[in-house]
Amino acid sequence: MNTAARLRRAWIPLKYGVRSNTSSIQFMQYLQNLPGTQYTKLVNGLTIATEERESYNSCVALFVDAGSRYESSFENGITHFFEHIAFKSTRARVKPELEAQLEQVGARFKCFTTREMSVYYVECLCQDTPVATDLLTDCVFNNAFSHTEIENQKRTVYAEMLAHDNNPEAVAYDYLHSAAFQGTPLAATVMGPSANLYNFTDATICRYLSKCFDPCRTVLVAVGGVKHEQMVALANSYLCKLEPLKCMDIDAYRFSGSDVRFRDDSLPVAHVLAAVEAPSLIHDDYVVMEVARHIVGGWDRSQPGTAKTHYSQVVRMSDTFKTCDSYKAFYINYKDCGLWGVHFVGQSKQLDNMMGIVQDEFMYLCFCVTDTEVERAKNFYKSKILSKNESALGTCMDIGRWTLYNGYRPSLLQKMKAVDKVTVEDVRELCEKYLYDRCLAIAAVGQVEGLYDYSRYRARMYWLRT
Amino acid sequence: MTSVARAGHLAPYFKASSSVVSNGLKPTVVAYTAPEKVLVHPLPKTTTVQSLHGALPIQGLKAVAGGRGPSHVRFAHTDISYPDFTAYRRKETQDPTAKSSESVDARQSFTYLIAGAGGVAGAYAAKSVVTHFVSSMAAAADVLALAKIEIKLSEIPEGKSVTFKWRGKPLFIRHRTDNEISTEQSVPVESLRDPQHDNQRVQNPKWLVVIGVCTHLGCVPVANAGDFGGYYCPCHGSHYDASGRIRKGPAPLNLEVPQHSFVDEGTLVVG
Repeated sequence: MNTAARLRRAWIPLKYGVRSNTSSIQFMQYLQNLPGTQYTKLVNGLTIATEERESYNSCVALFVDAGSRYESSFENGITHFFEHIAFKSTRARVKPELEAQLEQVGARFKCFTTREMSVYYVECLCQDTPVATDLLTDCVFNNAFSHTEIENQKRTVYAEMLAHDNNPEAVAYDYLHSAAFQGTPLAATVMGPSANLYNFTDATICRYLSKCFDPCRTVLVAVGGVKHEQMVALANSYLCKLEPLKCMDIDAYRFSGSDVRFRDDSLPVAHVLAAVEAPSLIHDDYVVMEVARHIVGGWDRSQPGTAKTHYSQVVRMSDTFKTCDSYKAFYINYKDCGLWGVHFVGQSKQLDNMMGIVQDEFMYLCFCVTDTEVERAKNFYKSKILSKNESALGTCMDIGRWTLYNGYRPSLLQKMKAVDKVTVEDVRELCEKYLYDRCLAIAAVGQVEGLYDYSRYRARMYWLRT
Repeated sequence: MTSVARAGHLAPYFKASSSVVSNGLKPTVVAYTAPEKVLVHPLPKTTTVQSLHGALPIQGLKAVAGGRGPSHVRFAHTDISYPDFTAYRRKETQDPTAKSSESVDARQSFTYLIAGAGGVAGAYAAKSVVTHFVSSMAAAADVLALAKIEIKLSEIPEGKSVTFKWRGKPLFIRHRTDNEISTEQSVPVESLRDPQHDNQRVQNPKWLVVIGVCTHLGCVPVANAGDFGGYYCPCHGSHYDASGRIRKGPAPLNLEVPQHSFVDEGTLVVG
């Protein structure tokens, strides 16, 4: 019996070793041979990062280090507002001309804004890249700030705000930020309060853009069938006129254990978010916490009946006791801080039970998590990285974000190796560091009556047992 | 109604106007009295539809359909900011630019130290409260005082058995003579109904301490009587010897020896 157990224990690493090595040696060589990302910095501080691929399409993006966390309380929402007038008219091209050109290229111009990043990108065919880049940079850095457009877009943004309010999940995430980062600029929402919207004029927008849309804080990324030299030449012709400004320095941000609830019984369910402070995107612990997040995983009731034998304890428990409709672990990270936690949707009466299951899982991660679970989560995370980097757009987003905050982006090979290095001890140690006896930030929207007092959930963040 | 209105003390409330009749007394000197300061309270900020509407970005843009104006104002969730808890924060976390995770160990150890010390103090306080109440169920001091009896042995002459009252029962203290001692010591144990050697029953062979209740039916035996020179129960004729052991008669057991100790040479404490 004893010998059999010892043999089995010896066999497991051997089995995994054999299994991962046969396929992954070739794969690692493949990753090693991928063309790397090339970087150039212009005189005015603008960074250009490209990754050439053998493909017929390309994705060009402008990443600007601007977003709601850099806005004052009177400006809050201005970055998002600028998004709406960006593609309307420029100083070089009047509205009908610009619209005609945008349509003519047949490219997809899009933009989005987060709390600390504003991204304008275009997906087009290779041969259209110069035109598309010209239009993109013209729109972002040479806007006309037409008065009528600003007034028109106010109505659009207001309608968007009200529509955003109808999405309880998005509202819950906004509340989570406002509670967890209370008193810091990160608490502000991307859209900002509706009163600010009324006060936006071309002058306020201009002033803000001159502060944040600075070449030092901008990265131009191109992925696809474009050469690095070509992009540098394009950037030189369109972006070298920009004057570098005084760089804003950024402080560390404070996390507060806190609780915010918006009870709305007209909603059919409750959305609950429970998060702890987590490492930032560029922190060394980032990869391990990502693996930990994938151990918790996610699930919803529409998934066909594997819940009884599901790998995740949370799923098995919540299926047995019917405690939630869906849940997923999330890890939102910013350049200097992050939020790691679980979002679940459930009926009012079951919220407390579900919270207990989730917190038991947190404690399980700290002390009991097993090798098999870590291996599974690592594989899941690796496949997620690969599938995300498959498209030109996905790679473009990845490069832009890392280059903006880290200066460079770790290659796929480096990322795979970093994930491979994670062991069960790492997961336990870091989960204990970030989860064990740490304050939660809780945000809940909907039928939240069944959620108990904050101190109850704070007390469940540790186990006094051996 | 009229009768009510006529009632003197109610009348003022029913009148729309009131008249004041001058009493004719005028102040002789007209003194300057400062005009009372008129306190104007600012109007409370009401959250009416009109006042809230001013905060919205749609001011002049809104077209209202239907005959009535807007009946409510809808705010976006972003319009409500999180309350400021700075007054409740610890000094380490007052600064929004300080990373709270850096001071967490110091804050937690302080909290846990206070909580731990408080817990110990609380447990001690709880213990003394509980002891106080539980001990109230114990026997009172006067009862406890009666539970013991202190006897001066010098007052008991040799060969005599003296009776005391102890816990409501008669207590026999017998100052045995050497003769009695040697007799009781030499009684063969096997011959006894309740076999006990004399040494098992006495601490000091000179002194026999027994409860004077016959083990048969509870009568009080008579001292220095009976066939064996010890005690004799007149009720049914039980004979006890000078060690209080049953020797003859219906009683099944020897006389009971209570807990006792010799505090010093001349004092015996029973109980």
